[in-house]
Amino acid sequence: MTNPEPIPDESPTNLQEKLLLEQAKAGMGRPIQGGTRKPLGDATRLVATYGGSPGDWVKMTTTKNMIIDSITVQVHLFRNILTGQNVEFKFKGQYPKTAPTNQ
Amino acid sequence: MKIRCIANTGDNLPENYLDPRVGYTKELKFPLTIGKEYAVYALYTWQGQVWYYICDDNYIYYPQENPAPLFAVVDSRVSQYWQIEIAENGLLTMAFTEWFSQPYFYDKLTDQEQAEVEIFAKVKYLMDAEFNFEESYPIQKQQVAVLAKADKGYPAAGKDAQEN
Repeated sequence: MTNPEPIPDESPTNLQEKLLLEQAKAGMGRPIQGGTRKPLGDATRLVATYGGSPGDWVKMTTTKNMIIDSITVQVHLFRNILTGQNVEFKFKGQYPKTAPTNQ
Repeated sequence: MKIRCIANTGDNLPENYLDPRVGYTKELKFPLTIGKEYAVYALYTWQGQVWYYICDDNYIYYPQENPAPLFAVVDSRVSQYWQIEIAENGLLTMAFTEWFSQPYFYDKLTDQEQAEVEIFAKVKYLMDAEFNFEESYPIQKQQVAVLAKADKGYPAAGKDAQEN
């Protein structure tokens, strides 16, 4: 589980992803899980890699989704809530929840 | 359990729910529609707070926690799929079996690991049917079958979706 090497941020491949990533890097997000209530499964690795305590780390997501090429996309990241450090930005997405049409 | 959104901004929350370090400020607008009903797939209570895991308006493949003061309960029945866990630190969680039986289930689900995404899609379908929550569950049948990952971690449209 421990991996002292930082996981690099994913790179945007188009303008919309770039804008979404900028929103995430500007700190516009809300938590998914983590903190002292229930530390993340990645907490040990994050502490080994970036420092802090397991309860300091929270997984966050952007507050808004963006639809890119019909895929609803958001950015996930880890935040140290004591230092404000944000690391390991990743794009997450899902195809639209629409039923296929019969042809 | 079903709930109805009655407010969607941080300024409707008691002070103990606010935490600017993680974005929970009075100015935060939650991705919720006032008046809309949401099915509750799990919940937890901790340090005087109650949070519901729902598929809010930003839903892509995992339910996300939203604070209870933004909702009124419209169906208080407990799901037949729920179990209760009380942790040593006082965290009380009610959720479906896999949430507890599979180590780091929610971590893996939010990381979009295929097995956990499939499990939640199936549980969501079952719980939506249990509570006659009709928002999208006919479509979820398709989603259950459409969960393979493609480039950049996005689930790809599956064979069924392409051909039907």
